[in-house]
Amino acid sequence: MNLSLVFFGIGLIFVVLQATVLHLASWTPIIPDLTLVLCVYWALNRPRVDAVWATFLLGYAIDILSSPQPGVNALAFSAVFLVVYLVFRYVWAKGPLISAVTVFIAVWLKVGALIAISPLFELSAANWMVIGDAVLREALFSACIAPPLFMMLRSIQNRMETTKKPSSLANAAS
Amino acid sequence: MAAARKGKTADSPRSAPHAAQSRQSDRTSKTGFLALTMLRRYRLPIHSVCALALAFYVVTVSSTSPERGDPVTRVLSQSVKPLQKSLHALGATIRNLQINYVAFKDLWNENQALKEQIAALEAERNRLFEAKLANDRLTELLEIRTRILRESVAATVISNSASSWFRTITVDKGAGSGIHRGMAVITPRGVVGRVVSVADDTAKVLLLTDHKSGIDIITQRTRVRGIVSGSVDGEPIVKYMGRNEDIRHGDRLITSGLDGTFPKGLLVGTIIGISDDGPGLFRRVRVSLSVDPLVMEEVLFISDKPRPAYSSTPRRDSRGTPSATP
Repeated sequence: MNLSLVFFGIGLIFVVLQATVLHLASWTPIIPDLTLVLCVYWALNRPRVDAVWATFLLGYAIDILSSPQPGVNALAFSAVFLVVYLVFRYVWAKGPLISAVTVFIAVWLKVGALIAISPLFELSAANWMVIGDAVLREALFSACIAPPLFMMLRSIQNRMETTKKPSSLANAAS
Repeated sequence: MAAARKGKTADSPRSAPHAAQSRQSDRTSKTGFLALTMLRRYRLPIHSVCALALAFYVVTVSSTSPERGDPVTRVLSQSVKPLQKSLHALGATIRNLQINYVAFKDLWNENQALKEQIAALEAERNRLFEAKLANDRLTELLEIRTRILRESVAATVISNSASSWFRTITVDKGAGSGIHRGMAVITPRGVVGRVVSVADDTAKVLLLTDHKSGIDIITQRTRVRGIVSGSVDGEPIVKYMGRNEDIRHGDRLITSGLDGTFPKGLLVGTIIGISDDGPGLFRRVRVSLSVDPLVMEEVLFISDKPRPAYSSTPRRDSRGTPSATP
């Protein structure tokens, strides 16, 4: 089975979880962005054309479920994917701390893109402080959840690639 | 050799155009090859930029014509509806377990506190009974004005917002049941929000806790006007309440009816904090909403159209369930 399809399926599950269970089980209105963590992992470890469009579609799925204006999350997710691909891939070193830092920055990038594309937020100093506080909390939650999630995605990727290799080797031998 | 050289020099004027042509075609094919190589090398950033452009197009289209809605959104929201419904039920169970655990832990302390409160409430009850008699008289006078009969539809919540930045809920009824954009949404406890988008079988409600929502209110005690709005951190506030206005901790906020969407007199919430560090001439007023959006299960949509005065049979929606009336 195609790994990109598997990741996309996981992404859709994350979107639905964010819309239902996670939201209700959380003790605070701010919830970690699992879908964004997946997209960051994708941009770092398996940057391909199908990943670009899957990221776009996952953002669009969030728009469908929650955003009053379709397209804003699709744009923010695509922008994060591009920046992570262009910048972070080249300073990438494997490790839980690095993955957490990358996701932390990615959340700020996402909210930056959201602010840039839609007049969501009122431009007064008091509100900026509230926004900053909320972004910080979401970024911290997402960063905390990033290392175990990266580990899970890495193990899925390894398992699928190792099951794929023997069959390709057999084909080469024949 | 000399002859050959001669022959070559003799042939060269004729072969020169051919050579130039072949050089030209070589150059063209090299350029083409280079362009293809570049395209292949940078295909991922190119696709990313295409995705960004498409997203920007979707945002532009949706913001210029919000009424129409796009077919992709309609189809996808329909297809994920059963999954949303079941996971929402699971989430509600988890939430209830969490609430029950906390409730059990605090039960004994609460019991002691409640016994003390009962004694205080007995005295309060006598005072309120007197107030009720006065209120009954005044209500009779106001009844003609406050009796607003509008069409309404009951619906069940099937999903919450998937993002921390938007506070919305999705319900299991849509345009097929007579729900339309801009309708007021309430529960028996108070105001919930208003409809922002509608599909055939679902509708999305922008909650009062969203930072983009706003509702015209007055304080019940002193009739001071303001706007209740959500904020990014999920804590609702009242805007535009001057420093000289007579407001107190515990004042109840009700709809003013001036926005044309919500009928007058619906409970919105209670003031839980007042501070003078608001912007300009205004105070910073924090509100506890009367409705907790996380534990809501059924909501009522109120139309701006009046209910027919003498309808013998209740109006039925697309599923055959009768529409409720407030």
